[in-house]
Amino acid sequence: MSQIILLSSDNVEMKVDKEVAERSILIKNMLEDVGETPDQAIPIPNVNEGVLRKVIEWCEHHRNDPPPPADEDSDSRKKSTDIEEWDQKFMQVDQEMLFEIILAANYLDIKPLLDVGCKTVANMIKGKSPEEIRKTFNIQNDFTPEEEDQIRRENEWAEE
Amino acid sequence: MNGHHQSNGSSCPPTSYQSLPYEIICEIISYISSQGALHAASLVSHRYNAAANPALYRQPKLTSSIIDAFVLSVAPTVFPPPKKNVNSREYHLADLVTTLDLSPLLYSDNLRTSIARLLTHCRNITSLTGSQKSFNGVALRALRHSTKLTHLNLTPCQDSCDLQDFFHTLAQLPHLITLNFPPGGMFSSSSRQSARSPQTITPAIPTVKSTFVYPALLQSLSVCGCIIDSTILASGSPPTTITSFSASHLPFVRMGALRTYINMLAPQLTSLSVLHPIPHLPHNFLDKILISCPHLLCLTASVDFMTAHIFDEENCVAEHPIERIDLDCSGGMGSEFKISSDDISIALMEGRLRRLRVVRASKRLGWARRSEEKKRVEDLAELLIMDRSGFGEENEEEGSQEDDDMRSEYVMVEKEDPVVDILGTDDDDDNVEDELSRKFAGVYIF
Repeated sequence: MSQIILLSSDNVEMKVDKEVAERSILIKNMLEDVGETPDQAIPIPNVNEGVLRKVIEWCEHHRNDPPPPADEDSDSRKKSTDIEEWDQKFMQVDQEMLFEIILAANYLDIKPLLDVGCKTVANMIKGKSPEEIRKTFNIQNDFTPEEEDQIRRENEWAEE
Repeated sequence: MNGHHQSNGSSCPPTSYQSLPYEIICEIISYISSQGALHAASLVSHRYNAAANPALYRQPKLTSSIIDAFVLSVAPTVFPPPKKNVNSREYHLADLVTTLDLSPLLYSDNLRTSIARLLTHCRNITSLTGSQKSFNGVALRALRHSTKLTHLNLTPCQDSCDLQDFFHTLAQLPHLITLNFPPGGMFSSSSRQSARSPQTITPAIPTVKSTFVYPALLQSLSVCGCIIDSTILASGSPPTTITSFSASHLPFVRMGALRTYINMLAPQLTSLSVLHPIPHLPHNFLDKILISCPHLLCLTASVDFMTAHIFDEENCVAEHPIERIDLDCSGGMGSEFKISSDDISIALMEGRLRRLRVVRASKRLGWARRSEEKKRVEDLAELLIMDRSGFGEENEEEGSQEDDDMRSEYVMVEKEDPVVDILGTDDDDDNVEDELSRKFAGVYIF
């Protein structure tokens, strides 16, 4: 089993199985372009050590997953927010780490991990008021009072 | 709430939620289907609003208690604003709507005008389901604005409508693919028109005599209710684009008219549905249907209109492409004994219908009532999942392979976790089963 070295944004080297690293389409394409397993560390400039370890942990656990189905036409359909148990536990991290994982999955192009992250956030949004959502995720309310009022009026029909 | 700005993250933690790109927020929003949650998200911030509003308005779940507020929101004026005026946000909201289901709406005095107003504004609708009441007059005529419509389901509509109005409106919908006729009666006498809503809005209507023109791309047509022979079934030849036809609950249609119509469509059909009650159809109406429809992939039928002879050698051939048969049953006297699972099993064993993979049967057929019957159903399920390419020939091929993914109902429900999961969600069970049987060979009792 060939291994490669990843270099986090804070210059920490990590050895991983090539197969595990290739859960990232970005890395997979990179390795394919290079042709052979490189001796040098592959820099991952956008991801720090803690997050990269977490992402690798996920890739290790899912190393044998079948590739996700390619059909994109399920887009309009109602998506399931079910998350498998291991992933649920994996995502039990603080807010900061959760978003870092999402951003890293997006950057590294690991679609299934991105999906799990987005589902987790979606589940956290459900049942919360706008104010609670802002608090939970530390979002600034950038509406003027007039704008907020207008949207409140327009979308009033959907309020539960 | 710390006041940090969305564009530069220097003064705030680099991972604040604001720093998630818009596409990811959209991705997150795509997992939210509850209207209430989307509503809350739309009020969080500009970015959230931009992501949540399209999801909120795309397919609004309307009810009688919110329809007025909804109309006020997407159609605040009687006439939509001129196209160029894009400054005002209201007009955008109407453009976001692509699917409207009006069937949950109850009758109210202003329902018809509300619908007309909605349809006048929401011009990007591609799929529309009509309301039970008031989907006629101005409401029906306002449909002509929905020029992007591909699916029009008027099955819920009980109010009678003017036949000319109806076909005149259809003529404005060039992209229509699916059309379900309203079950309420259709009238074409001009004397009735004067009693209806003012005619001033409608352009001149062509005379009654002309043959009705169907949308050029129509693929699926469904008729039910108070339609009489002369309106649709005798309205001239149906479009050659139609591949799916469905008839159900037709108290007034006579056999001759329906037979003529189905025979006209037969060579082009891939899907046919004939469901009770259609009192004028005989008990063996469909027996030759597999011969007359050589391209049929899916047949849905009440056993009231067929006998076991449909599976006879002269009525079905080995090469027939049919993949799925759904059998419903009115439960009327004698109907439950008309077709047994063995009738199909025998046909399969003798090498007929080699492509058949799915059989669904109503509980009323009594297939799984007693244990020995259950056994027969299991036998049929086994046959369905086999590769039957060698069947019916002199030297039968050995080792017909069995695909592990394809299991009969009994095995499948136990083994496949996802199945149980899906059934546990809020989805309509019927739909789920419908979806499953498309993927899995076997027998399904519904």
